[in-house]
Amino acid sequence: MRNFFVLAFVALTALALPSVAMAQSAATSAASDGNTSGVITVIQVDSETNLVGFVLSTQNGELVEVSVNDSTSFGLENAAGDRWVSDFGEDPTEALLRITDQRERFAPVTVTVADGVASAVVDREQGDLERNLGFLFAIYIVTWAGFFAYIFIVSRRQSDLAREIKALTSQVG
Amino acid sequence: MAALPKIRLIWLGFTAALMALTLWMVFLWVPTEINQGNIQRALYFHVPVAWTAMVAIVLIAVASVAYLKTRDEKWDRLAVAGAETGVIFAALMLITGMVWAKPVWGVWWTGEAKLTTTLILFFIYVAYLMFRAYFPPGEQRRRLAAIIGLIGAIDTPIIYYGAQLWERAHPSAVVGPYSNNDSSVDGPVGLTLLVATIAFSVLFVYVASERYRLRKQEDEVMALRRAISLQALRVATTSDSTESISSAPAGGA
Repeated sequence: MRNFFVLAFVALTALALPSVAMAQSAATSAASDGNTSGVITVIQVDSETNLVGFVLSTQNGELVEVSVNDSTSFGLENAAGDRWVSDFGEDPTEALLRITDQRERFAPVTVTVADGVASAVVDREQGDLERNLGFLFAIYIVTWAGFFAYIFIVSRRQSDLAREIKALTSQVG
Repeated sequence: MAALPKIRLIWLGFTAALMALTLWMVFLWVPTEINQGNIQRALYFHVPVAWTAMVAIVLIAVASVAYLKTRDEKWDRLAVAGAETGVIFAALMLITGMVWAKPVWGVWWTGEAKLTTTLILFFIYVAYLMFRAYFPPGEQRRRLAAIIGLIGAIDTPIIYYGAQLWERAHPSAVVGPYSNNDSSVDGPVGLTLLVATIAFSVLFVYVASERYRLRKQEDEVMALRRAISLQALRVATTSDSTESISSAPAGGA
């Protein structure tokens, strides 16, 4: 009986280990192209303490690895309200400081990834990117309402005239 | 005759498909701009609508020249279609621009050259249509309208170069021969803008062709009414002359 339990434990452990390993490998994945938002959990630097990338923890609990290069744009605001907008290549030290500041404050960021590299890193604090949605909605509604109203008027007038042409043709004919 | 509605239907379907693609790209595909946030997506409506408004005035100018040269009424109809569609696009350009300006610039309107010349373009369209509405129909109206259309086209290059010549709040041209090379309109933003511009151009062709068809119908109705009036006049003249013959005294000198 004791041997059975030992064997069962060994078998279960053997089965569980690959699952744990797979879960570990899936925990951190490279960011896919598009927008990803989350909190910075890990900052990756090279041997000369230059920022090379960071890991984001997304709302779904996924860990996403993002790398940066010289053309990565930053638009980040610190606790004092000082907004810094620049490219990584222009001031890599400030970029590292800002990223560190974001991580320490657990301030969420939105990262735009293109070809596996972050093209833009901006703060998502207080939903800044979602500002002015009402204005965008107004533009969208005005544009489409304008077209539909005009096309409706034109098509109605066309059918009225088609009827009139038919009536007049019968009079002439 | 049966082929015409089919072509129109295909064109309408093509326009709808392109518009659906544009909406998907604008709201789901293209990344959010860093500084302005989501309101920057207004670019994909404002710039294509502005482009088509410019195309409309060029269309009026070309049709006007062709009319003055050939005196063919089809060119006059094309100019009218361009003007009426142009006034819609120009109005939308101004409204979308104002709604975008408020959150970004903090004001609805500034008196700078680009905006003022664009407003003038809108008034040119309105003046063209008002002239046509109030001037008696005929050859003289068509000729004078063609001249107004040609004068209006002078405003187009001023609008295009306006932001470069007197740059203030409105950014410089981001596409075209005079655009700034450091422009941020590339990659996904540039592609989305290109698709949106093509979609709105296709929509413009559809709307303008419908307006052209309406104008043709209006001309047809006028011609038919004239024919009926002439027919009635001829009948009245004939009955008058018959009456005068029958009432003439019999016999003779």
